[in-house]
Parts: sequence; structure tokens; C-alpha cells
Amino acid sequence: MALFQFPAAPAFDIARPEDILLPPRAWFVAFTLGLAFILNLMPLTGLWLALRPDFFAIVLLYWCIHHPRWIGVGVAWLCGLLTDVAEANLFGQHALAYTLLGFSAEYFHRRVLRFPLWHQALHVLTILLATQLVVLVLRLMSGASLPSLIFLLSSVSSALIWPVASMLLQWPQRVRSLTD
Amino acid sequence: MSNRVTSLPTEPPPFFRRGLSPFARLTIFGLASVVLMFIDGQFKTLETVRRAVATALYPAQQAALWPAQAVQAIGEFFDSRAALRSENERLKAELLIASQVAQAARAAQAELAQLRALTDVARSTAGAQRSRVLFPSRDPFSQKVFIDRAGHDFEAGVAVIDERGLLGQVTRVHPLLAEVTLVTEKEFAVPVKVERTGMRAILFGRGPGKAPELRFVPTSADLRAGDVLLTSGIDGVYPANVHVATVETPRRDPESVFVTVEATPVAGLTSASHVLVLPRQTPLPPMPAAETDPPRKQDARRRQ
Repeated sequence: MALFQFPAAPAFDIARPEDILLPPRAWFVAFTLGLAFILNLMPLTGLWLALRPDFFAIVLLYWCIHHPRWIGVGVAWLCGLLTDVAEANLFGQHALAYTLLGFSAEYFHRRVLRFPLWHQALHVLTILLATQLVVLVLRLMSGASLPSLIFLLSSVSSALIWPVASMLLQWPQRVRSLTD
Repeated sequence: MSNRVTSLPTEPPPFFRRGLSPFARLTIFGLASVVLMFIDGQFKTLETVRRAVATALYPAQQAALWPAQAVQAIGEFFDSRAALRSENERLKAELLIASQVAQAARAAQAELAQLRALTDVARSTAGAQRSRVLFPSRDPFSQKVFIDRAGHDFEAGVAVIDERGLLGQVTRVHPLLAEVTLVTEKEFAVPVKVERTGMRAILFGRGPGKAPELRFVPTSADLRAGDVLLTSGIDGVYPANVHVATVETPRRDPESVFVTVEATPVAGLTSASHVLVLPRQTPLPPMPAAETDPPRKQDARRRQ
């Protein structure tokens, strides 16, 4: 049975794919996405802006990875459009980037969930960097000048909050009546 | 043993169909994004959609501003008495100077009014509207701020100044807020003149983190570090004589016929909290039809 043992996970690990969780409620998904969006709208500039995690992308990625049949490429696309309007830039650039984010989440979700949280964060970092690079390429193509590359730090800080975000977002779905 | 199930089905039965494959959805939504980008970039027809969504987002944006405002309010509460006193004294001294200037200005204005009445020029800078800066754009690629438009009435294209000088131009208006493109935005052009010599030039923004530059300035031009650049007012967008920038040391490169002149904007591009939106200037008279005129450079407005 136990041909392969997973490495011991940190104490604060989230549920394994084989653990049974309650299905998330639609309003909870919408609420977390909305809250993350508002967090993204905080008026920051310069280094603080570069260090700010992309809360919206992280929450979106969480739902895309954990419930790809509900939240997938389509929702990601809509979220991207919202971001484009809120940031007053070219319509569709974040839509394309978030579409790719949704797709990679859907494509890798089985693989990502097999890892402990910090390894998941590395996968997440790769996906987020790819998303930011898509935006970078699109902006350079549309004539913008290259900004200082510290804005890529946002991906790193986003990946760093992935474990905490995962635990918080999974909190309401945990089965708490099981006592043994 | 049943021999019917010898090989595993390669496809899930229709019972478990999950709609389009991820690849198909990626293609569809990716194409939709590209089409949107093309339409937005080329035809500018998505403004109504953008306006509607932006208005719906207004409460969310206000909510996001709340923590910053709270921090500011707390900071103000704990401002020390000494700081307030020193500021008060400084303000009194400034008021003294300002009142002197105001008296001189009053005389000048009376004179100007007489001259205007004489020449019957219906031009005024009255009607400027005060607005406040809500938040800067979070886009690391562009130089924009958002200002309040609730209760104001101005259109895209008008100039925005703060107490020190030209901030930029309103480039997009939504019902409750407006987008101001700053003078440092890449390719943002402002027609200026040098206060000391009266020489005209065009100041081009070069994007975040870089000072705007004067382009096409011949090497023979009389320019020094510290020269003050004012709007020339020939474009019909910016009123004349608004302080825009201060010239840095010009760099003369023997290989080029032009001087490289960078200029630092004087307005508080990142610090302004209250701004003045100036009314649209009177349109230019039509170009004369005669060919005898020397070719004139058309107004260099914002090129997008």
C-alpha cells in the first residue's frame, strides 16, 4: 500500500487531495475574490507597490487550482478585464495574462496539490512570473518603455503569502465535526 | 470473468463530460483578449464599456482608500503642537509675501481687464475647478493619477495644474473620477517656451523614472541649467505661462545636431493632493490659406 511516502509536511499544511472537504459556497468564493480585488486597489506607489502581493491573482489561483471545474479560464478572463479597467490600461492585457494563469492552474492542479505548501508556492511563483511577463511583453509591444524590473517582486511576495492564503481560504471548508 | 472490459476507456464517458477542454478555452479567451486589445488600441470604441465598469468599481476604490485615509487621520491627530506652531509661523510669513504679491496682481489685473475690454478678447482662466487627487495609477508602465470628478464638470483634454506648476492633462473622464496623464508619461508632449529667452520647444515625457526632455533643440540654442520652462500657450490646450519644468544641464554631443536637454517637472507629480482643472482654452483661429506663410508647426498635443 505505502509504496511511496510523502515527505513530512509542515504542521500548518493544508488538506491533502484525498482528504474530504466541504464544497465551498459560491458566495464565499465571490466574497474572497471581491476582497482581494479591493486589497489590490490600495493606493500604493513605488517600492511599496512592487512589494504588494497581487492578492487578486493569488485568490484566483487558489480557486482555480482547488476547484478547476467551477473557477477556470472564463472567470479568470473576467477578473482580468476588471483589473484592466481598474488600472486604466489597455483593455485585455490582464485578461490575456489571467487567462493564461487560469489555464496553467487548471493544467497543473493535480500536480501542484500533491506537494506541501512551500513547494506549491514555488509552482505558484512560476505561474505568477509567467503572468507578469505576459503583461510586460504586451506593454512593450504597445509602446511603453521598460519599467524598473523590481515590479516583478510582486510575484515573489505573492508566492510568499500563498501558504497563508491557502490555509485561510480552506478554513471554512474543513470538516470540524470529526473527533476521534 | 467478463471479457468485455479489457481495456480502459481512453475518454471519459459522456456522463462526465466537462465541457470544452482547457486548451480550447485558453484559445477562445486568449483570442477574445487579443481582439479586445486590438479594438481598444486602434478604435477607442470600448470607452462606454470602460466607463460603465469604472463607475461600478467606484465604491470598491473608495473602500480601498479607506485604510490610507485612516492612517493619515491618525497621523494628523498626533501632529505635535510645536510642528503646528512652526508651520503656522511659516504660513504667516508666506501670507505676508503673498498679500504683497496679491496687491500687485490686483493692480495688474485691473489693467489687464481694461486692455481686454479694449481688445475684446473673450478669454479667461476663471472657471477653473478644484479637485483632489484620489490615488495614483497602479500600473508600473504609465504615469497617471486619478482625480475626483464628482460634482465637477470637465471634459477630457483639459489641463491640470497644482500650486507649483503643470501636472498634466485629463485624458479620460468617467462619471465620478477622471484620469490625468502626467507630463512624465512617455511621448506626452507639452509646447513650452524658455522664460529667459522666449525660445519655443516641445517637452516630451520619457516614461517612469526619467526626466522629460526637450527634443530638436539645435546646438546653438541658448539654454542653461536652471532655465524655467513655461507653457507657450500656442496649442490651445494649456494656458500660456504655466510653469512646467526646470532645465537640467544641457549635454552637447559632438555627433548629434541636437542638444540633449532634460528638464525636471516642478509640479508635485507624486505628492499633489489638490489640483486645479483649467477650462479648455479658446480654439485656435483657422490656418491661413495663403501659401506665402512660412510652414508652421501644428499644435503638438498629446500623441497617443
